[in-house]
Amino acid sequence: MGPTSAPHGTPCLRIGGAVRAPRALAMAELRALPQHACDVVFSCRRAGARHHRFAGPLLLDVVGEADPVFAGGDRKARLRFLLSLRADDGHRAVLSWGEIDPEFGAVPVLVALSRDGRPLDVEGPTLAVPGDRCGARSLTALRELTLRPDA
Amino acid sequence: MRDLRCVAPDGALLAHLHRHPDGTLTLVPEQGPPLTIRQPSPGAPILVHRADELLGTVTPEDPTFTTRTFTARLGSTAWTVTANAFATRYRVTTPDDALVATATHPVLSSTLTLTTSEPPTLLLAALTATRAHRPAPTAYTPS
Repeated sequence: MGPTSAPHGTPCLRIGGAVRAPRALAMAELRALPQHACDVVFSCRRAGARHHRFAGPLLLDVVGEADPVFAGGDRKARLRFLLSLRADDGHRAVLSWGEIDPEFGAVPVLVALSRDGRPLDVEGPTLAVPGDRCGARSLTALRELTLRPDA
Repeated sequence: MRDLRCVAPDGALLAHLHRHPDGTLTLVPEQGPPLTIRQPSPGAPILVHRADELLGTVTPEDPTFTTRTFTARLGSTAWTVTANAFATRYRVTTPDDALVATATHPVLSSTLTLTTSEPPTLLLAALTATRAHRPAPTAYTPS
């Protein structure tokens, strides 16, 4: 499936797995969440350093909309969970929950809705991971998030 | 979108915060009329209204990687509101850096706990206005 336009009312990002309320969020719903910005530098082998500013909701808040269930209950139980992410073009990446949790790794990973001030309405949301060296986890047209325990 | 409960440290309900699909917030205090919090455009000051009356503005400063800072001018008050990058901890201070309030919003919780000895409604408006903020649509600029 190729890139598709994501009009305001069209669900574009599915959230499932270990959640109480699986959701499909449209761009407008993602835009209504608290918005953040982050600067990312991609050190590309061929093109050199590329600087971008991404803006959108925190991945943490996006997953929070589906009400995650962390079996085990205590704070450290969250460290056993991971997020499996899939883009429209088939690219996949996995993040550990501990990376994005402010009580642990505290990396403000964004589900970016704009890049350098340009809305990503046509492409769909992009995963923006500050600190990634070459942007390999910057999945374009993010379509699916699944929260899973480690085993 | 999930609502946020705002409570005192003893658990007493202070207000509900409702988020509308367009990003506008309605703060409904336990006592007194509701307040509307909205940002007319990304990067602009956030406006706080009671009915049709403009109570004041909450203006975003340049964020850092770890901190977001806002200047709130609501009624006769002027505060600095500082939130961490994840909006899980807040501080409100006066211009001479006296602490007015703190608040915590634990990860994935739908409850914000406000600690202050001041009347809470305007403080909650200043704090929660940070959740209505949309960054200015700008490209990266080296600092």
